[in-house]
Formats: sequence, structure tokens, C-alpha cells
Amino acid sequence: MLDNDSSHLDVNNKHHSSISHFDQNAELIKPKRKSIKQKLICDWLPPIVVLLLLIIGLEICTDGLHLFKEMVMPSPSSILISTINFFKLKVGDYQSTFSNVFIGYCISVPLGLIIAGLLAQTKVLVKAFGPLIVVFAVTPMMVLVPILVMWTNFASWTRILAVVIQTVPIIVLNSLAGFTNVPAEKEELARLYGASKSKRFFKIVVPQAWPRIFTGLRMGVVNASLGIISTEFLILGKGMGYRITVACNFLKFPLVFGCIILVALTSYLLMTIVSIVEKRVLVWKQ
Amino acid sequence: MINNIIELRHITKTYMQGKTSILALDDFSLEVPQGSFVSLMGPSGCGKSTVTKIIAGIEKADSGQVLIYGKNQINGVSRDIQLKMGYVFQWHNLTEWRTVEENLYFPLEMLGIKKDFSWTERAEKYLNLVGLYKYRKVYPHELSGGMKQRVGIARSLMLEPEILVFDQPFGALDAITRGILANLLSTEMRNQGKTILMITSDTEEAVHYCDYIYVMTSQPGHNRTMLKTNITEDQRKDPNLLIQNDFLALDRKLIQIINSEENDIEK
Repeated sequence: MLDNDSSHLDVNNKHHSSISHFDQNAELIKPKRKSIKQKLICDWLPPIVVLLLLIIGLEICTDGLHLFKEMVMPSPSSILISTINFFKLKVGDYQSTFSNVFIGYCISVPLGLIIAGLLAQTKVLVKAFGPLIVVFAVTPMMVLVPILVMWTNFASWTRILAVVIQTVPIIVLNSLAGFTNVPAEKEELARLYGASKSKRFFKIVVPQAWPRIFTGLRMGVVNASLGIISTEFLILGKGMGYRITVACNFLKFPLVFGCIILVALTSYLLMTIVSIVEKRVLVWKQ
Repeated sequence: MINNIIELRHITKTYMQGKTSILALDDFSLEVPQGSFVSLMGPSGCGKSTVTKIIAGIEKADSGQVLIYGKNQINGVSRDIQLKMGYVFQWHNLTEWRTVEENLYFPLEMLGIKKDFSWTERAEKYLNLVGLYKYRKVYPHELSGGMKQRVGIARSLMLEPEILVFDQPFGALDAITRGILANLLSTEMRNQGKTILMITSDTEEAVHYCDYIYVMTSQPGHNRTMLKTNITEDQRKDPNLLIQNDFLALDRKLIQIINSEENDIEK
């Protein structure tokens, strides 16, 4: 027991002797953190001021000076009032649209990652499927909706399907770019330690691809909203896209604008949520 | 007969650069006896890094023999040798998504060693050696270039290797840290009887710490000369070594050889 203790002490002493060689208090390269007050003034105040000025200016131009017809640009106050009045009674459209976005996105993320992961295992597969994925990613999936409707016979999950086919390709494209662009020096690291295929993939390829994967996830959220609204323009019945069409037909322009703003704000919110998750996950990035 | 831990015999290696193949190493041979400190010098682009990468199993030689512990490893280094070798990259090559501590565990994880308490003990020991224990929870992007390199050195020691292969380990360090670290490592590793192969561009460093100095020709890399320093342990510990005549003469000779090689490139 005693013997053990003394040897332990010895080890500690040895460490201390080597510590003294280096300056232990060297400064870390740390980005300066802004205080909440600074953040408020620097980051949040300017856009809020611009937005307020825009709203006030519009209000003066429309309701004050009557420069535009209501059809062209309704006043912000009328947009607000009619939108609140409508959605107080019926939230179904909003709920339908964004629950479909949510479900579709939750299916698309794992699906996209799995497809990209499987393709990345072989170079031949990447070469073979690469162009196809690019074609899918750049095609507005709205063009497929009429066909989808025929296939699914107007089933309610057609909307989710539309979200998925609009979202998956962009996630696959970006993740695959991450999986296939491993820096040469990281490949050297894998060879140095004789990494097995699975270890190489999960401990090197995937972690280094996270920034690119997140780019795909952020674009995926935008695409999901895009996909659902364009589908709802064609499949009538419910959803924000449908509501916009109907309101337009009944010449309720303030409500049309209100719906558009609501869709825009929600999409922005969704993207912000993904960005916050990204910042949490990628703490190791500068 | 001297027991050579690493022995390269007539190694050739060509690289493909676009459509043209470039001869990087041409009939290069090297011997690293057990417990010795060998350095590899030569003009830039002569294939020094390629030599260390072939030994570490990162690159494969086209022909020749790579003998490590007497076994030919020409078709890739076997696992038992990977476990015995520590390699330091020229540019630290840390995994940015892992903290300093996790970076140190990386080789152990990759080689499939079961995690136990000794991992943290080892990490503490080697982080203390390079003076970075305080920063074990920090991500690499918060460290300076020199600190990252020191983490890379600590990582190479985590397997408690018998062979250390350094590819210009001190290149990115400032002069003071460089001196401290070179001194510390060479004494510590010599005491532990480890075999070291190091690429360096500093003639003084080579003469000061090494038993053998291999000088390569400009591309394609070929043996130019091999110098034996014949500096004893006691001499190395002598702070006046750097101004002794023998040392200076050796240093000057080395500089001359390397300069003549550099001049060859210009011609």
C-alpha cells in the first residue's frame, strides 16, 4: 500500500518537472462573446428598425395617401386584422401545412442521410447515381404533383410525399458531397491506423462531413415549405397554398398577403431552429 | 550485426500527377538500428515525407523491401506494427471535431483497443509532457499552430510505441518551444530506449540529437550520404556542445552537403 502511494507521488513529481518547461498560461484563441446588450444593439436592432420603417411607410402610402389599390398592396393594418380574424376561427390550414412539413422533413432527414451513406460506400455508385440526384435536386417537384395525385388517388399523404421528394435530393446531394470530399490528410490518418471500412466511415468520414450535411438540412427545410405550398396550389382542400388560392378568388387580398407573410415567417423560424441545432452540434467549428 | 528495427532496401516510388508519372524515390535505402535516433535530411520535395509515409504504411512503395522488425511490410504495415509505431504529421493532422483529449484517444479507438482507465492516465501523462494538460477539454480550433503540433506529438505517444516516426514535427513551432520540445523528447525517448526516425530541416537539430544523419539527393530521392555523429550521451547533455569545434565542423559539413544538393536543383 505504502509502496504504491510513494510511486504515485513520484509520478506526479515527474509531471510537475515537465510542466515547468512550458508556459501553462498561454492564451487560447477564443472568439469574443457578445453580451446580450451588445447583441441587442448590434444584431437585432438594425433589422427591427428597417422592418418597422417599412411597415410604417407602407401604412402611410396605403391607408394614409391611398397610393395603391388594395388589390396591389393592402395596408399592413388591414392585413394584420383580416389575418388574425381568419385564423382565430380556422387554424386548420396552418396546422395542416406545417404538420405535413414537419412529418415530411422528419422522414426526409434519415432517408436522405441513409441514401447518401449507402451511395458513399462505393465510388461506382456515386458516379452512377450522382447525375440523377442532381437532376432531382434541381427539378421543382411541383411538376410531379399531377402524376403523384394520379398514383395516390388524392390520398392525404400525397402532400407528405411531395415534401419528401422535394427535400430528400437536396439532403442527399449535400451529404454525399461531405462524404466524398474527405481531405487527403484524414485519409492518411485512416491508413496510418489501419482503420476498417466501418471505422473509417463512422469516425472520420461522417464527423468531417457534418458541416456539409447541415447545409443540406438547412436547404431541406426551405425545400420542404416550398414543396408543400406548391402542392397545395394543385391539390385543393386544405393548407396555406389552398387558402391563398381561395382568398385570391374571393378578392380577399389582405388575407392573401397575411397567408404569404405567415408562411414566410414560419419557414424563417424553421430554418433558424435548424441553424441553432447546427451551432450546438458543430461547436468544434470556428 | 546491428539489429535494425527499420530497414528500407532499394525503394522506388512513383506518383501520378495528372497524366505524367513522377519518380519520387529511386533506389533509396535506409537503416534504423534499435534504440537509435536517425534523422533524414534533403532538399524540399526530395521525397523525405514519402519515406516516412511508406514506413508508417500510409503509402505503398512500388518496389524494394520495407523491413520492420525483420518482416517485409511492402504490402501495407500489419496491425502489430501499427500498434508499435507513433507517427507525427508535418501539419498536426488533428481531428477537428474532437477535443484535445479525444484526439489522444483516436489512435486507440481506431486500432480497436478496449477503453479502460489507463487511457485517461496516459492522456494525462503525455499532455503533461507537452505542457497542455490544462487544455484537454478544448477543441483544436482554439489552439495555436504550435499547440496543435504538440497535441499531435502527444497523440503519437498514446500507443506507447517502440518506434517513433516524425515528419518535421517541429516545423510549425517557434524557436523556443522547438528547442524545449526537441530536447525533452530526445532525452525522454532515449531514456526509454525508443527508436526514432525524424525528418528535419535544421542541421543543428540533426547533429545535436541524432546518431545517424541520412542526406537525400534532390528529386528523385536517392541516398546522397550518411553521417554518423559519434556524439556521446554526456556530450549531448553538455550545454556547451553547440559551440564545440567537433560539433561546428560536423554542422558545417552537413550544411555544405545540403547546399550542394539545393544548388543541383537550380541547375
